[in-house]
Amino acid sequence: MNRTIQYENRGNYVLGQLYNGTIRMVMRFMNRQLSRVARALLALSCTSLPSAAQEVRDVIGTVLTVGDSVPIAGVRVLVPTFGLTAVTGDGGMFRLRSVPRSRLAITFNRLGVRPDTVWLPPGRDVLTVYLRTAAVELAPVVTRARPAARERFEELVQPSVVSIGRETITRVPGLAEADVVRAVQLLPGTIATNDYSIGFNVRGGEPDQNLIQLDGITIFNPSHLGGLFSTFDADAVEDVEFITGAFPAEYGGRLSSVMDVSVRPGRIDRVRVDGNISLISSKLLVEGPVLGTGASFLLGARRTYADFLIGALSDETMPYYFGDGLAKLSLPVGDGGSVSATGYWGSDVVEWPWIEQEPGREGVDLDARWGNRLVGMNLRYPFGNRQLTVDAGVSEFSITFGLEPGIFRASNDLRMLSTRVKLALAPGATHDVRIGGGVDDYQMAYDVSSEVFGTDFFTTTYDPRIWSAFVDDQWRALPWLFLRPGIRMEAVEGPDVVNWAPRVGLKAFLSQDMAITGSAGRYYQAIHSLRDQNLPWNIFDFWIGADSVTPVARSDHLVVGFERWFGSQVSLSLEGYWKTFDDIIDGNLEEDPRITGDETVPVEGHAWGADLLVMKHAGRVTGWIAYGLSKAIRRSRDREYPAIHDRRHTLNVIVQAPGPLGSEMSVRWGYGSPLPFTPFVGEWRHRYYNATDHTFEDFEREPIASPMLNSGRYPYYSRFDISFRWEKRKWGGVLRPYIQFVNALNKKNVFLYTFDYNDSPPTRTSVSQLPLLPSIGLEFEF
Amino acid sequence: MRYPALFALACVVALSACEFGETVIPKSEPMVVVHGVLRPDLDRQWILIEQTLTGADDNFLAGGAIPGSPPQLPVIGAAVSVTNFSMVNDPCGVTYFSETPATRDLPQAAGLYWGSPECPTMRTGDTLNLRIATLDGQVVTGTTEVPGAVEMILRVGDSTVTLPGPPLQMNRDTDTLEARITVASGRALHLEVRRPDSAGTSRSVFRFFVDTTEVMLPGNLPNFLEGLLGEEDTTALEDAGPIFTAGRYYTVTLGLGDEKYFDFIRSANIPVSGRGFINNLTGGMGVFGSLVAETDTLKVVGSRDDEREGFYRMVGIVEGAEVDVILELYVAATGEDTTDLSAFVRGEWVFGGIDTSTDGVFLGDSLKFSFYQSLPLLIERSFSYLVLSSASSDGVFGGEVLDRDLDVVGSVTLTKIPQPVTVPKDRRYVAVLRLGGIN
Repeated sequence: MNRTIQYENRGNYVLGQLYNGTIRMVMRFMNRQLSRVARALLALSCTSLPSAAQEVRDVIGTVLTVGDSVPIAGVRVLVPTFGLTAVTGDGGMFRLRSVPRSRLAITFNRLGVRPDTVWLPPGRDVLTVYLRTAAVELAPVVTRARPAARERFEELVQPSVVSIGRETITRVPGLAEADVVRAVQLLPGTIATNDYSIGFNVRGGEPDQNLIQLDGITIFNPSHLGGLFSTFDADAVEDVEFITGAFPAEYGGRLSSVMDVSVRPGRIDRVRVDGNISLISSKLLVEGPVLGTGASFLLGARRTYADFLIGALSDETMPYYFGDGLAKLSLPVGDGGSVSATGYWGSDVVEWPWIEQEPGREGVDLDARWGNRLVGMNLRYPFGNRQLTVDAGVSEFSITFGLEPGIFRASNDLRMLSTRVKLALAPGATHDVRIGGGVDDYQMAYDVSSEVFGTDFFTTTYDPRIWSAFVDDQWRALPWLFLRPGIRMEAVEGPDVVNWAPRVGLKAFLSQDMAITGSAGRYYQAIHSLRDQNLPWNIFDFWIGADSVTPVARSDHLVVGFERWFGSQVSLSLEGYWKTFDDIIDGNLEEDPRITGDETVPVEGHAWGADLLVMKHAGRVTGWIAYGLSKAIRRSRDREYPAIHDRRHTLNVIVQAPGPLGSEMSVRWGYGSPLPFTPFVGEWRHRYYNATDHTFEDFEREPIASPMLNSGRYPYYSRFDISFRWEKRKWGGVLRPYIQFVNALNKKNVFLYTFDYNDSPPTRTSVSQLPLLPSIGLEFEF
Repeated sequence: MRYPALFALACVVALSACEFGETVIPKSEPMVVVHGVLRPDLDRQWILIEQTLTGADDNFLAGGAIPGSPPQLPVIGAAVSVTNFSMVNDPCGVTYFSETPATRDLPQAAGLYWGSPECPTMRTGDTLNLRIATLDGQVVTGTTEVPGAVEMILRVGDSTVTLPGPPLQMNRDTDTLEARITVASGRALHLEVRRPDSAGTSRSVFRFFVDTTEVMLPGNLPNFLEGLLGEEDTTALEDAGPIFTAGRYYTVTLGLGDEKYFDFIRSANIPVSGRGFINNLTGGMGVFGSLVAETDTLKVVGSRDDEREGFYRMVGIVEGAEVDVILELYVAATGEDTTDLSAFVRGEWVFGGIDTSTDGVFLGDSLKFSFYQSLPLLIERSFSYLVLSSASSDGVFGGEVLDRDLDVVGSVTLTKIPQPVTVPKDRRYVAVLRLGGIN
């Protein structure tokens, strides 16, 4: 599966497919400029022409941004004298074949960067070019660097998609450090039910209905510390594409959203070290070239150290830590192609001496570990106006929880092997077609046992295998009308069903800055998580797969929207949606451990709403205003009730602007209307039976939930976060100290209620979400 | 102002901030809670019927086992019947339960409903139906299928006992207790270890259930559930001891419950959601299940690695009676200054023969332990004794015996002996006047 939703033959667009008025305008500019430069170069280099035909060579180069040396993809590289062209790939690499060995002028052009021309001496075959991304002013047309969102607006039929880059993510105030998923939770259509959980709900869907990918490989439980932190290192992220609905045919396997996190390739010009020291954790990121091969590496690691600090500063122990590591190796291949390998490892560990060993007493340790591991490979190989993309990977998630030695052990191991192939081609001037397929092979095993008691409590496996194929065509039917029909087939071994999922999208341009969009499609999901939807917080998901008993879930999406650009920096999108949910599941609290297949109860539902996003993409002040109107209903066991995330209004305002004392300031204010919960209607004494004496002795006081699911509402939610960052150049590097205030106004947002019916009058006590949490930290870069 | 936008935004969000804490909420409607576990192996059945907590009254955390201690929120005056539909014509086919049984031998309390002797009739596999009609018109129904075991076996090492059977002995350091049930009808194995503290009383040490037919319990297993069971048990994990201590008698009860009982013990409403309990009753909540069980005595010994462990003979005069007992003593745990001990106490004591366990402590040269003796024929009454002694230069402990009121009632000497001796059974009972009366 492709790791971004950007159309990949953008170069072909620029070269020959004049899709809309804006592109035509850009092309006019480029043609004029290129021809002007070419004429000048031709005049200057004419003396070298005679020798050019005598010997040829391949020229390999890299295009980077000035300042931070980030590779620039999609740059058209042209040798005007001989009409030779190439386009840079993901790593900014290009290769010009059969270039005459003479002194040549090479021009570099791409939307959003300042065009440039360099001279290549006859004896040099490798070059590195730095281009500026600043605004470019050229007569007679004036244009400015344009954000990727604007390009997407002009080129892509895909509503409900937002892309946020690393710079934005790292500046959003967070708990101790920037967090990718927290930033995504601030986009429209997304509801985070509380401060503690990374899980989020998109347009009425459940958290397990979000496809979360790291460089194209699915990652299953992307959180640490029970959801306080996501697994993604924001500094290693290139960007995040987030599709909140009606995603195209190349995506499958989930009902609600796609969150595609791209890890950036490492620098190829020099070794760079980035780091971050915060109150909770520290991380280090190292990147650089691989021995002049054109390849680059990126290595990152992070670990919390509260366990060390508490142990060193007090007699107490902190039995928990988490750590993770990320690696990426990128290598250019062919003309603008690339091959990359990405690896991730993360682990949360609880090592708690449940009963300390003493003379005369054996010790018991509570040992819990969970985490993700993945390895993925991505190949992009352009040839002609086609591009072949191959993704293959292994993604694992495992949980072990035990009372050791051998008293109790529960484990859940999930492994997904996936292979996906995609071919992008442009069979005509008005079509961009993608054809692909793949297989996802799941192995999910649960085992609960006790060596000490000699007992297996529960063992089961799920092994669904999903074969998929898709065709997706973006067709410019009329100069102002894009259509995007597609269809996806998913054959699921286990339940042995073949599902056909048609998709269709359209975009009708009312002007070059304004368009009406619409999409509809059917979506299937063959794996589910077993979380109790009524729990406000879960540490991780337990995944199961469709089989002869557990169904494949289905959802239909209808999205209608309007997009408007105000210049090249400000965009507005307004979308309305309708979604249905069929054969989604909820955990069956009354499941019988003897029976495989009764772990779930069927649920269906629907959701509707509207999302508004006003985003300022560039300039001195950037940010967005996201508003979501939503209603999510569930039906199960002959009851209809609001979903636990049925929040009617969600508003997030993000402002990133210059702040006081030379700082970069980032402000987030969020508002959420009341979320539902199931009130308690009393308590009971659940007594322990003493079989020896035939008595009941002792009891637990347990609350009793109302049979009316989610019939209560918490108070509204609001939170104000603010952060300041400064940048100082020192010791040959850059230091960025920062200070952040999460919930700066210390708003007591309700996390949950506890009830006390044991005394008169009965009382309800609220448990707060995150209080005011100031934090400081230091980012550094050398 | 340099940053008017920021200031304006701060004002807006400041207005949205507020706090809230504990709030009084309306009382809830009461529901009927049933705790009824029928025991085919016992001749009297009872069912506890009470209400949920609604916030109408202050409820203290009532202790004490039921029956014996009255429930706090009883449902009184209910019509309670259990019907065995496969034996409707049997005299005990339909059993009506009453709060006022026709005998004074049974604990009576509001909300505690007793069936007739030997009723209802319960054969393995029979389905029994409960019906409760309360005075305010609520009706609660439930069913249970009577479990039955072909054979219940306990095994330690090479010793196997088919229950009911003779006591077993287990070395806690080397042995594992194995339990096995051959099931005729039933759903879950219930294993319960209790430690007798005095005559008629015991303390739950470990309780375990599983829906298999076999389970093992290593003798040296720490009690990892200590402090986790029960509202009132506040024992911290730091104080958790092993399940089995050498030098103690235990009772091991092996039970087989039906599906409804299994659901009752395996599920619970979790605090944050109030859901999770598998309720098989209609019109109320709780349990109407059934269970068969047998109990055996387990004598737990251990390896002797401490020189203080072994056999001691204790003789002397206590409350006017000559006493002569053997202590089989084991070190339980060694602390900084003290060493915990447990010991079997067998021989002749104040009121006759005694065969019990004691807990105590070595503190420097002194030895302290306490134990109980039941008054013959009055098993509900027991007398506690505390022995305080210190070692002389020749290793013989001498000291006083105190009663429950810490009055000195005698003196004894303890001498370590290489092996146990047989205590003469023709002991002499000497009636004495006990200061402070019979306790």
